[in-house]
Amino acid sequence: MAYDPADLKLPPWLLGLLDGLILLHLPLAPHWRIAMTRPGVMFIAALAGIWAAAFYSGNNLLYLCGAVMTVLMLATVAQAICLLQSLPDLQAAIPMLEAGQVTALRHEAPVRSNAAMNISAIVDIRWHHAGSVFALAGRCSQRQIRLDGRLRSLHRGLFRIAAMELSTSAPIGLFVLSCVRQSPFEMTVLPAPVPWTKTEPGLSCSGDIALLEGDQWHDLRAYAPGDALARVHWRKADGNISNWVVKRFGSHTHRENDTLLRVDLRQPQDADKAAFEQLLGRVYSWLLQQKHHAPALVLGQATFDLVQKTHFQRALRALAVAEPESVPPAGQGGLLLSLMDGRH
Amino acid sequence: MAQADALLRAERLTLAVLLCGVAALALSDFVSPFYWSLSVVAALLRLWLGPKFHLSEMQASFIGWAGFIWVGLELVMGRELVVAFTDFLLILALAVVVEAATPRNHLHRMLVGLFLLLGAAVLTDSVLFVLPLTAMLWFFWRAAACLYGLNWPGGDLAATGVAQDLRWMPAVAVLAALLFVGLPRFEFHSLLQAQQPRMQTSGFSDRVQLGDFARQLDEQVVMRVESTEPGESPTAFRQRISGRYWRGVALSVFTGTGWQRAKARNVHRFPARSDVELAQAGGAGVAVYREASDHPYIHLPDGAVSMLHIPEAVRVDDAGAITFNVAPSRRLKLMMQLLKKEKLPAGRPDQFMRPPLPREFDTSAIPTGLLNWVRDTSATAKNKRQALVHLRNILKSWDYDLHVPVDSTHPIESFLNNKRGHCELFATVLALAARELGFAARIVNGYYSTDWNEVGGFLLIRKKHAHSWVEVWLDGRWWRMDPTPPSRWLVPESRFMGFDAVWESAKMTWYRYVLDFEDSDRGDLMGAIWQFLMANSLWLFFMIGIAAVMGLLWRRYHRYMIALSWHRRSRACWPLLDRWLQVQGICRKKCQPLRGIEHPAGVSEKHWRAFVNAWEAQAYGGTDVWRRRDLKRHLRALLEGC
Repeated sequence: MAYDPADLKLPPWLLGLLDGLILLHLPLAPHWRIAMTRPGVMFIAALAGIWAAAFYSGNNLLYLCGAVMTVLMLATVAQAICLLQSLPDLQAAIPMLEAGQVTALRHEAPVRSNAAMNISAIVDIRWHHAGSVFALAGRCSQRQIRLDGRLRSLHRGLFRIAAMELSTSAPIGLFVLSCVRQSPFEMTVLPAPVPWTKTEPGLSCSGDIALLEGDQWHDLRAYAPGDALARVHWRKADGNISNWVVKRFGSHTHRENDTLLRVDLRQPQDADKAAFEQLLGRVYSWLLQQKHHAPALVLGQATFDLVQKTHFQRALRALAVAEPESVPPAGQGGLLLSLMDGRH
Repeated sequence: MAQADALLRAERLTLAVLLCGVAALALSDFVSPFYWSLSVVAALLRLWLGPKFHLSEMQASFIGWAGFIWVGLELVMGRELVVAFTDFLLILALAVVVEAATPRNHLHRMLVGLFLLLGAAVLTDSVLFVLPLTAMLWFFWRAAACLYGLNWPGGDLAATGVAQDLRWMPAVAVLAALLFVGLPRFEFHSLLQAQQPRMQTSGFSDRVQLGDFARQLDEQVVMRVESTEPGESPTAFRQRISGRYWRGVALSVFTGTGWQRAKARNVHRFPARSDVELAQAGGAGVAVYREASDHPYIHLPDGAVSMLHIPEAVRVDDAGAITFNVAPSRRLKLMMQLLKKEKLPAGRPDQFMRPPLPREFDTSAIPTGLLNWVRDTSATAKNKRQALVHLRNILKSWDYDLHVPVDSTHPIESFLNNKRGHCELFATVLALAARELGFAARIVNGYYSTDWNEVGGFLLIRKKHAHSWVEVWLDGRWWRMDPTPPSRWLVPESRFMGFDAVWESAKMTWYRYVLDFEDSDRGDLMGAIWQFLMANSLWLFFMIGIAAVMGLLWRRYHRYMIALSWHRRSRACWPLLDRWLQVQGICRKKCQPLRGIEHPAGVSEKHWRAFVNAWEAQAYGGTDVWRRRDLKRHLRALLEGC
């Protein structure tokens, strides 16, 4: 904002007072609050002065000036309310996160068509969970909102977010209007993908395949987060990460055996939680690699036919909420991924 | 480049905010044109030459400090405080205009512009004030929105469209009007009341110096009068109010070459907000809007029986003159009750008016020529009263001439020789003749004959209506006698009568509904609006119905035209689109919407979704309907991934 009164070289005590005032968030209606920016504090002070002079003197021109400025203030509040109400449901734009990883988000969505709002504005979007604060910045312009932000969750899980806080100081930067949008949504935080091989120590893999074996790549697939950069086909890559492709290695036979992964969710007594998370990270990594080849996944007792998109999504959600189990995985055959290492 | 454009836009908008403040203050007659023209010229140079025409902050602050010192000197030299203050504000505005464009400078401009506007609210009451106020509202909003959009992470925000903001402005104006009307009025002190410079009196005067007529009788309005009787039509009000003499001051002492006031023996004082009752009678109400003048007299029309809720303290002397303690420096609204015209006496039914004093019989200073003329002219009269009437009739038959040369050492003889002159000469001769005949007499200065504003339905009293007449003590009361020939009132009309009527009506509306709006007016306004709605409800209902039907028809027509256009052009586009889809390996079934098919390979899902949205938007009028070449362009863009 380009007219912060701090630019006026005000004395520190006055700036401190302004900063104290802008911390006041006054309730406007249920789930709505209003606060002032520094220019807003000055505007309100000027308005109070005008009304004091008008009431003191009965000067109708001062009444007129006061009425115009008050309506200007009300118009800013009304526009901000309309703006926040016209924003679409943003939870659909929130991607699945990976625990401990930063996910950069850039998403565009139209504002609600029934709203007559076409103003340029910045909207801050925040939500909280388990002590973590997630924040996005929305740039509204030309009936579109563009969400930008970097999201990072420390813990894996399927988090139910009850409310999302939207706030903006648009359209003229005098007041910060915030509302709590009560639209519960789920935020899926998957384990961080862990590329893996059959021979990796501390991990038990049964079956005849080695996913990352062979020195000739036979196939290309789209790049997915977590892929080793060494596998990226750099000669086909360009500046757009969505166009990157990754080389796939291994024989045709091995590829056929990739179609089933069974994950044993039992956790040995001596294994720590990080090992379990590593296991899930490997499953996730496998899912990312295999999703275009329609494999099947057995995660503990749950079976997912990943051919279907809905099953794939359910598999991801199951991965996010996976907890150690006490029974071996269902089914048989395929590639078994386990921490039990022969103890089952 | 975009940021440079945004900064330039912010520069212009904040400059506009400041200029609105300067324009508002320039409306005040207290302000010297030299000072406000400095800011305006500097602003024009800044707009012309761009931000390169600037001084550093330090240099600009020197201008501000120099202005402060200069204003201090002005005060020492005796300049009025209010004038010096406005000078300082305008010098400050100059400094801010030429200061380098920085965020601080933008804030300076908006703050100074706002202060100038508020200063103008106290220093002017012109109807034109509404123009800078409205412009300020607009530019303040746009400038603040522009400044809000600067310097965000990720780049400046695009400017909100003018159409979007304009859509809000009528609602803002209506809401401001509602707030203005609805808020309660208090008046603890009149210090910050809107002021105007006291108008220099040129027609009316409380002294008469006989000789060439030196004063100017121009078109400037001194009073506006409107009815306060509910339901009174303009025609009825015009009939009621016109033809009344507006009495100002009675001059009893003749000096030989002029008239002066006699010192009052009894003075009745009335505090502000009290009622002044002149006679025990009921009457119909009028509101008189009195311009700020350099004299303290209140002019009362014939038949005035009371003044209600006077805005400032007044005193009423025994000669019937009502004066403020100090000439007010603002326009005042005076509420009066007047007798109906058919009940009008020839004088004022004033309980404070005293019987004549000896000086009103004084004939010592009457020149010999006048004595001879009275003796010769009244020789045939049966009695003195008849002689007085005869003399008045003779005087009325002479010529009215404002520009006839008058010998200032012997003005009365000169007038008797010329048999032409201005109203003071006519009144002087009749008053002295009455004294010579043994009646107590004096002359009265005030206004007579008025202009009627057809547009607004109110009365205008201008400087050119200033007049003198005579009061003679007959039958125990003061009677008015006017010896001035009727040709006095054959004044040429101004050239722009139509424009003047509209302009005066606008000013009257401004005074009535803005400057002098009071709590009591709220109910009247609501009542007037309600009456208007009731009286025109049928028409309003009809008009609203017509507008609604027209709107619906237009909407239907618009949709039909869109559908027609879409149908025509899409017939040519669908085969092309289907062929393109087949090339991409997708076979669309007949009547299958694009939204229902898989996105083609090689096209990103995001771009395909945007394409489908744009395609469907055609059918709803969200965008122009594509031609084949438009579709080809979009398909090419799809494949190129943009």
